[in-house]
Amino acid sequence: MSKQYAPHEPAEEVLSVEDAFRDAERSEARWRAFEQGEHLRRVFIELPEPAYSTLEELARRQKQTVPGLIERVIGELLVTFGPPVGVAEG
Amino acid sequence: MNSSQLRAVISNTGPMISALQCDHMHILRQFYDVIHIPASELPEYEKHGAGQEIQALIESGFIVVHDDLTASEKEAAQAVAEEISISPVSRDKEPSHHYPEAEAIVLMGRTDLEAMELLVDELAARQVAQRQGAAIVGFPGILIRACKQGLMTPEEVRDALQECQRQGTHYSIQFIKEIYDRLRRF
Repeated sequence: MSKQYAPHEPAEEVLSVEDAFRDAERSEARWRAFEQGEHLRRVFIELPEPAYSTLEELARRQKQTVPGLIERVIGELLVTFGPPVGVAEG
Repeated sequence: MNSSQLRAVISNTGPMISALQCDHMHILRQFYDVIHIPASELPEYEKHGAGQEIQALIESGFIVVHDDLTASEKEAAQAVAEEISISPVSRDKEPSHHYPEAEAIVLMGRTDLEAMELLVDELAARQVAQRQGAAIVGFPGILIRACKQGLMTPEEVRDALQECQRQGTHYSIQFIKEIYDRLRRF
C-alpha cells in the first residue's frame, strides 16, 4: 500500500463539478496565452517506460522539470545539428 | 528555458496534499516549473504526514518557500483569513486556521513571482481569492486539463480522485462520478 496522507481541511466544502471544468478551461486558456506571449509551441511526446521514469529521475537530480530538460536537450541538438536559420534547401 | 519563461504558480496546502495522496505529483511537474508556497504552510504538510515529501520537492527546486512577507502583507493576510472565516460556506470560523491559505492569496499579489494561478480547492478560500482578483485552479481542474491533453485517461482521473477521497479528501462520490462521466463524453 502506498503512503497515506491526512486530508487537508476535510470539513470544508470544496469546489463543484462546474467549478472544476471551468477551472480546467480557464487554466488551459491562461497557459496557451502564456505560451503565445513567450513564443513557445507545445509538443506532445509519448515515451515508453522505463524511459520516462529515467528522464524524470534525471530531471529531478538536475533540479529541472521533465519538459524543461527535454526543451534544453532539443535546443542543444538544434544548435549542433540544425541547419542555419534562413538557409533554403537547395 | 530562461527565468521569464518559468511556469510559476502559488499553491495552497490542499491541492499539494491531493497530488501526494493519489501519487500524481508528476502531473503538477508536467504543467509547472515552480510552485511558490508561504512558509506558514510547512507545519500543515508536517501535520498531514507529508513533511518529508515536501522537503524533497523544496530541495529539488520545484517548491520555493517564502518566509519573507512584509508587515503590510501579513496584515493583509490577517484580513483575508478573517474574510475566509466569516464566509457563509466556511465551516471553520477560526481565522488563524485559514492564515496559510490567506498568505498564499496575498503572495498572488507579488508581481515579481509572475505566478499565473493559485492552486486552491476549498470553496471559501476560492471565493475570497477571486474577489482579490486571483486566477485560481483546483486539483480536480488540473486533472481534467491533463485528461483533455491526453496525459491521463478518464479512468485515471476517476481513480486518482477516488484515492484522494479514500484518504479523506472531501470529493464526494457524485462529484467524482460526474467528472468521470463528462470526461468520457469528451
